[in-house]
Amino acid sequence: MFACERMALLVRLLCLLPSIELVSIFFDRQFCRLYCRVLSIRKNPKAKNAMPIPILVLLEVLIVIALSRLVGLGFRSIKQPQVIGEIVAGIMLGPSLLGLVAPDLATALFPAEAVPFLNVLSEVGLIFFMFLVGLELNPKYLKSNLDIAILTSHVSILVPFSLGSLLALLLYPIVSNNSVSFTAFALFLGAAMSITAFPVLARIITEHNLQNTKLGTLALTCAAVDDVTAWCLLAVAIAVTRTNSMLGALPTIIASLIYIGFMLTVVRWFLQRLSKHYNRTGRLTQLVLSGIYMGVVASALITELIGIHLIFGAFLLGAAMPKNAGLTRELAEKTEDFVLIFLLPIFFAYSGLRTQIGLLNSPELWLLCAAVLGVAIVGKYVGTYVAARVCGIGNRAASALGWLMNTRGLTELIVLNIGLSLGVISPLLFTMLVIMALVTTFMTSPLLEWTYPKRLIRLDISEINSEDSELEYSQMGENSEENANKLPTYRILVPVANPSTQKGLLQLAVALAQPAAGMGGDDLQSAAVHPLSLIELNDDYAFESTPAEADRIIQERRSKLSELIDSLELSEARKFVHPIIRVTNDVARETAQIAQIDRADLILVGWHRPTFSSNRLGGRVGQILSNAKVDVAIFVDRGRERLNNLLVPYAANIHDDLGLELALRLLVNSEERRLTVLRVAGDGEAGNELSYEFQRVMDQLPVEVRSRIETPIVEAAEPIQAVVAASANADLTIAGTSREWGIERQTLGQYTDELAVQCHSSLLIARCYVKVRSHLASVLPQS
Amino acid sequence: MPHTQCPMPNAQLPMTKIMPQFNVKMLTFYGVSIAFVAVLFKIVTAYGETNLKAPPAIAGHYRFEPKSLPECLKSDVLVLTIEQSGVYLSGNLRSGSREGREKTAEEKPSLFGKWETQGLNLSGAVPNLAGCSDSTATGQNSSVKMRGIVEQESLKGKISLTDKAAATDFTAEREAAVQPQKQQH
Repeated sequence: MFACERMALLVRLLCLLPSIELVSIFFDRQFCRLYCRVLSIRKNPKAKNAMPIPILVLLEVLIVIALSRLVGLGFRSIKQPQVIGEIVAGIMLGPSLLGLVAPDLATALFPAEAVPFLNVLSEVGLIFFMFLVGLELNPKYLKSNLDIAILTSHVSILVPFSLGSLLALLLYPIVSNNSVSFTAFALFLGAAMSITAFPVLARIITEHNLQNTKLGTLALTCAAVDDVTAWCLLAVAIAVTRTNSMLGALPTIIASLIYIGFMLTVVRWFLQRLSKHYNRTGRLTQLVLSGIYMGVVASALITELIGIHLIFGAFLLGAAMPKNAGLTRELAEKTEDFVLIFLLPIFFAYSGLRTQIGLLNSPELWLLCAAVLGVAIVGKYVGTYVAARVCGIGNRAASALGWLMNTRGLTELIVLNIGLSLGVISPLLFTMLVIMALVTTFMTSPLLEWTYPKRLIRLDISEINSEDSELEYSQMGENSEENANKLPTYRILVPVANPSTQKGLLQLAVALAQPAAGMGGDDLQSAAVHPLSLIELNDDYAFESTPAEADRIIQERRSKLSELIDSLELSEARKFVHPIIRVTNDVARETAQIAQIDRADLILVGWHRPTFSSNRLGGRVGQILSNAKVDVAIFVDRGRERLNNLLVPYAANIHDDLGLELALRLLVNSEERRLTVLRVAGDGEAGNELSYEFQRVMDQLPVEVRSRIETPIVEAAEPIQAVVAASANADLTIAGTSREWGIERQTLGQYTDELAVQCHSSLLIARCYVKVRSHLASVLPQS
Repeated sequence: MPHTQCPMPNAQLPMTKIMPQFNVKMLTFYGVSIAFVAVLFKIVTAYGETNLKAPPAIAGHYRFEPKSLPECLKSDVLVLTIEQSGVYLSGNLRSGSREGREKTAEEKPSLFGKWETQGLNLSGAVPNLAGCSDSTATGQNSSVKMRGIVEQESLKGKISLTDKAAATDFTAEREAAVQPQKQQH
């Protein structure tokens, strides 16, 4: 029993469910009992207390989903596609990790008797996943420079295919056997080397905001062409493998071509009728959906009967579906959740069970693995690069395209599983190719970032979308001194989560940035406000992450932001408000990066109450505070229309200095404003002195501005209460993140937001990061 | 962006531009590439089919003739499972009926070896055989070495339980596969 308890603990650790600690005590005995029942199958399959197979399979599914989500999220946090994490989770459950560290547990959890059930579930998942891939294959992606795309894509297949065939000369006598013909082996190896995973690539492109750049559109077109070509090549390879000769495969190939023709004519005509029906009704009924799902399964069965593979039929039906935006979205959304969350991880686990990294047990085999990896990377990169250069694509873009086309990911895994099932590749070669698929996908994002940094991506975006002036200064070139003089001298980045509730925030940003008439800042170019709308895509493979869908969401967000900007009272102000809309999977990190790349002077962010914390500066705001390497101000809006009476509680620290500078900006920008710099002294103590810097700034201010500043000192035992009392007469209180005002830099503890709760006026909390930056330089007269 | 000969892709292009327009240089490059790869593949496959020999497919389950086995192996119905990846072999020795074996999990391979010109070589521990695992004073698993040749459905060769013990002849018959290795979809 003691051993059982230990193993039950291992099961719980494996699951790593977030809430496991809460339920662990309660479930200790249950887990123990469960594990003992699982173990009893292994020891005695006919034992009375042995767990029935359906229950065991459900337990397996539970573990698979939990681990795949967990590892997937881990990979997302290191800026890798979630799907790679899910594939790795599958491998972890197989003999490569779990089987190595806990062989008893591994064999108990995944007995041979239960594996066929996983196989069935994974096949079903694969069929519907391929349907989704086909559904996603939008002719829209083929609209840009198809000639370049076809040439680049096909050469990027031909080169790795040729190198793969040559590698087959080395590998065939070592890792194959005589039941497989050399032709089938070479064809399959070549096909495996040539794969580019369109779905993974599309997500990488969306995540890097490349979907509307020259590079992104070309890469998408290439990958779409590559995808179709590679599936055709794979179908030929399967036909040849099954018949063991090229000639024998001919009838299968002809039958496949006839079926493709049938799908793209008769079935497509029928599906277009369905699309019209959808337009009329506006919804996808269960009856229609069941018809489509039956079509998917029927088409899969037909391609299986023809002699290629189930997945082709499902893919074909998806590709033949008319790309009616509403129908496609509803169909994808209804199908994808169960397939991607439940079924696809089972496929990864099933693949993981077949992946045995332990087979690579000698330096000689690791060398062979390195050769496979090298051929795959070099073949794809060189093929793409040379073809792109022949088409006249620039050096950097061609190189980036070469790395992008190396993304193999999930598509490769599908191909390899087919190869292993057919026996055309051995378990050892399967493992090598799985490693190759993982490495090539894993390296794509960092190499893309290295070859084509975000700065250049944004240049591309602004070239394509010139009316979107979000970064019009980027177009000027960043190294030119002359151009640097034309850059806005003061920039505020305003993250806007919900455009409809952020008018006050944007108005404050405009008031802060607004050039002061007659103060040397009357040129509109001297200020810029960037409302930043980040679209967070939570699920890697969700339909909303496809470039076309992401584009639609961006346009939707853009129009909402335009409405917000149009609602601003000052029409002149609109000229220096330039929205930025981006797709991201980490809002805080992306905000900090954009602020750094754009050389923003200030991030102005709205206050919100986090869902899981009582701390007002926690949640997203806290993350931005932690990540941002520029000054940040947090606005707690009390809905004041005017910002005429300003209050700055001053305790002579860098954060209060920032608050003071922001207040002076507001003061300089409008003659109607008045500023009170409040210093609080304890009973019998002297008040805080104004800093030397402040005195110097005061000296620079025109008399007219100085006359609107008061600097009273009040005595109070509780500084916060003094500020709260003074805020009753203010429209806006600006406080630094200092202990005196109960607000600390990283927002520690429950007292930190006392001021935010009790303050009568709107509140602006200032956090200084860059001590040397002056927020007043652009509004003060140059001496 | 450097000067380009071909127009760069542009997301704003209308759908009417969906038809590809190749120029002579691109067509030549395309044609030469495809022809080169077709010829290369033809040459490579012709060479491979004629000159390259892969090892025979020997993966499967082999049931031993118990009488011929030494010491602790003798008392059991013994089956050698061989997994093959070309010349690289792995597997394990297990006892028990076929039905029982199929109901239990796949064991981690404990025997490793290679296919060489003369036949197969396998060696490693036998953790699944109770009698053998207790055979030493330290409680460690005994090691097994075997060499053999495959003749049609039979595996014949020599097996020794420890390094020092004398090798014993054995014969094992391949069990008919319920699920062939090549999965017919």
